[in-house]
Amino acid sequence: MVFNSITFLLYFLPAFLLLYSLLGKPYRKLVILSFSILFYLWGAPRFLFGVLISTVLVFYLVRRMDASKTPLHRKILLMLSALISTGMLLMCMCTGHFTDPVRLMMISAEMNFTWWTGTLIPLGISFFTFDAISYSIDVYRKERQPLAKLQDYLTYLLMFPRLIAGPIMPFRSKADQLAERDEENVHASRLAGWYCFVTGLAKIVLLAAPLGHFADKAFSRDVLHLSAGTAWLGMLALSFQIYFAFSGYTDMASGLGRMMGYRFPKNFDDPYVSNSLSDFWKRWNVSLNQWMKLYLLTPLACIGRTSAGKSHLVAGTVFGATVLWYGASWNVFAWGAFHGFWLVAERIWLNRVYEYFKTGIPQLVKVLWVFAIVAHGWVFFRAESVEHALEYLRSLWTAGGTQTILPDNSFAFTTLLCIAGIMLGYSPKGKLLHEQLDAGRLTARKHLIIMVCTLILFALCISKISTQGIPSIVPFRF
Amino acid sequence: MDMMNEKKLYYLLLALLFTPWIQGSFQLIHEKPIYSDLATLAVPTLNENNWLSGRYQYHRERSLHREFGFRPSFVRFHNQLDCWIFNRFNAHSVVRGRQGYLFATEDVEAYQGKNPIESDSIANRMQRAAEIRDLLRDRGKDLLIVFAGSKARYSPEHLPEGTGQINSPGNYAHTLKIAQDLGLECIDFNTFFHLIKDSTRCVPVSKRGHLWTPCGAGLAADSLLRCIQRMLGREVPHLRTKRSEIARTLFEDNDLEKQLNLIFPFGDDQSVCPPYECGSEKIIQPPNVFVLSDASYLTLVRIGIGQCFGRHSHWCYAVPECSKYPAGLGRMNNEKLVRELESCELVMVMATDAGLAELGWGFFESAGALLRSGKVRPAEFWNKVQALVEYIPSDSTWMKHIREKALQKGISTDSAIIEDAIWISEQELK
Repeated sequence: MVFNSITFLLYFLPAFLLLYSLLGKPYRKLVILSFSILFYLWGAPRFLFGVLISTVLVFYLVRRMDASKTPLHRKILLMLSALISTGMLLMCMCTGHFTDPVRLMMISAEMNFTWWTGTLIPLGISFFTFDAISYSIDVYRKERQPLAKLQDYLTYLLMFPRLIAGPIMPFRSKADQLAERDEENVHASRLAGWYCFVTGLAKIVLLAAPLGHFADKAFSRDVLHLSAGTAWLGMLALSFQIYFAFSGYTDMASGLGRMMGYRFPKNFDDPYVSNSLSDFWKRWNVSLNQWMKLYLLTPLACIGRTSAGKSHLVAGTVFGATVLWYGASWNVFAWGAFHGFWLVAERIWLNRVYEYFKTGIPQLVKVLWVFAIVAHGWVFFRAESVEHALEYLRSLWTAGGTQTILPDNSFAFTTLLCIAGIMLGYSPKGKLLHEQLDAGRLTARKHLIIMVCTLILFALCISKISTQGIPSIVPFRF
Repeated sequence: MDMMNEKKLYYLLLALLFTPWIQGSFQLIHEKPIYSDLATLAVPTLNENNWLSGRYQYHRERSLHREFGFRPSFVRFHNQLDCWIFNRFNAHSVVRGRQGYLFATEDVEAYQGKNPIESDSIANRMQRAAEIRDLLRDRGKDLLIVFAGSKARYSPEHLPEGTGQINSPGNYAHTLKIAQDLGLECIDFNTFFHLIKDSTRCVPVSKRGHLWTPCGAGLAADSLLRCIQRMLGREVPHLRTKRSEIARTLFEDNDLEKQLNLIFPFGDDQSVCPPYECGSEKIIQPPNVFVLSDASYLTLVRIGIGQCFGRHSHWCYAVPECSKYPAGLGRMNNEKLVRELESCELVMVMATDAGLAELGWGFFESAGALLRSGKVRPAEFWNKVQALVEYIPSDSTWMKHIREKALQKGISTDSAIIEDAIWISEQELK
């Protein structure tokens, strides 16, 4: 059950909201947990048993660790809890959910783990693992006290809004919310959550899907003979499809969280207006980068301090781990290598060029340059194989391709909608509206207008889903 | 906004979110269903295996997706917006022509000559048809092949801009030529309608449907019955309009428009026609006809051509139209086919241009072998059976035996009479 399915939108969500709203404060956490377990039971029933066992084990191990005074004992318990948390992830890696390189290595080493295949479904496995590790480490570092109740810990890990596409939330930033959520001005918060949820849904169904449809057509043709114009259009469509799909899902998750009184961090901070590639990586999937920084870069930083070479090695390791999160296929490796190349180039000489032309190069040119690199990188993400991606990249820069796909009216309409949405979002009025929405200070008139708009958007999305089915979401490929 | 109003707005939202669920469960508001929607999806029973394997969830989700409340309205809303904003239809089987005309995609493709059938395949099939015609004639029966009129061929001026013929002569012209060369009895409604196009007020093809209009069907039925009369060499009843009754919509001929599933139709311009009735000046024996066709024959059925036949068996091969008729989708069942061939005087095979690839739907392949094997008994056999069935009740001794046999076998007396009549006729044939 994905968020943009009829089952979720018209059955699961209304049922959850009704129960959550009708029951008193003491029962609300229980409602969240029950629906989260139901969500899991529906999507990955066999996986749930493994998750519950590992969760209970980690919960008690971390409590023991916190109570222990011996550093060695604490360290052992930390390693043990981390191992249990990553166990699910490792098992999925071995069962073919993680593909190509890892699997090939396993096969070459004559390690056969196929008996697990079909047993586990990695629904939100990486979010679950990362959150569990974050909990163990934060308690180990004494950043936060361990949770007193198992129910709170289960809610933290299994909360259904974050199960499919995050965001990843370090325990330290969520611990307070778990104990005491923002229950003031509840209805304003719920309405704001609804607006956010529908915005995310519209991004996926009304924007990402038509763009993806065009990108699919471009990528499914004989790319060697694709005209350069079509190839560029296909690449641009793909870039915005990926962005709208990822950020749309995060918006839906944030909206659902907000309806329950949780505040999820912003996961996509206008990444396509970055003025350097390193800036892009700070804006893209912010929660993952923050997690990597807190739990991987920080411990490794002490090694990196000794020399420039080691510093590069540490940066490379963290970047490699970040890329690995998106999947372990050759395509993702190629995508990572492509980004890695440009990141190194930025460190070595490109930044100097930027500096040299600091006053000469308009900001817009830099933004477009970075966007072009990112867009080229997405080709690896989408292509069927690395060879396919290279052929597509060649068609971008080769004249004489004969296969042209003319975009239809809906593509043009979607593009116009995107431009209008971006302009509205960046306008002073749009920013003000966003601030008011965030702070729950909307006037009655604005509430009514936004409510009507979101209901129309919701109806449009339902009508589109009911006719064309659930749009495929690129993030789920990884 | 104060908290009270926010609360009201939130609960209003919640109520709205629940309406599709409630409507889906209780059907409180009557909705126009989606045209040509498939049947309800089956959901596996809820048990441990189905749940753990995810089968139940998968099928349940698919079923909910198709059955939630207000789905028809949502689908129509989406289609209407696409039609207004993007000038696009979401029914792949419908093409927008000029001056508000709609065409079936398969009809346009057939007109263009797309999906050509190999010449050998057409020749082979027609050769088989000729052999079957000969075998049927040996039994006093005949075969008629009907080329139903194609809308695209009748009004090419209304086809979408740039619709040209790619392959010539195309399946239709090729099949027709071979059939005529082999001396098969054919009616070509493409040519017929084209010839009368400028001389009749009747427009035989509907603007927003892919079949004939009632008056077009009336013209076609009249020609068909005259042709049958000539082939059988005896007078048959004819279809004529009821002069005493006023013209009205006999059947809806906007099936293509319906397939678009829009909220606002293009216009209410259904064809009107006085109803038809079948009759003749004197008492005559109606012919027994066995028809194999695609949807093209359905308009003739709707205006009542069946009344002009004694035994009228129709095997229909078109989805979803044929599923609405009692005969349903005919299957090439040899046992059934033997009975049809024995009972009929004329076999009629009818298809539009688009249906020519499947012409006969297996009939030409199966019937020849059945006729040659002797499984299909001649008309004289059945005449003999009929005579015996009429005679036996008048013979009291025979009837006494029959009653005893019927009691022993647990069947009705009538069935026992038929059994005896068939057995005696078979012995006589041997």
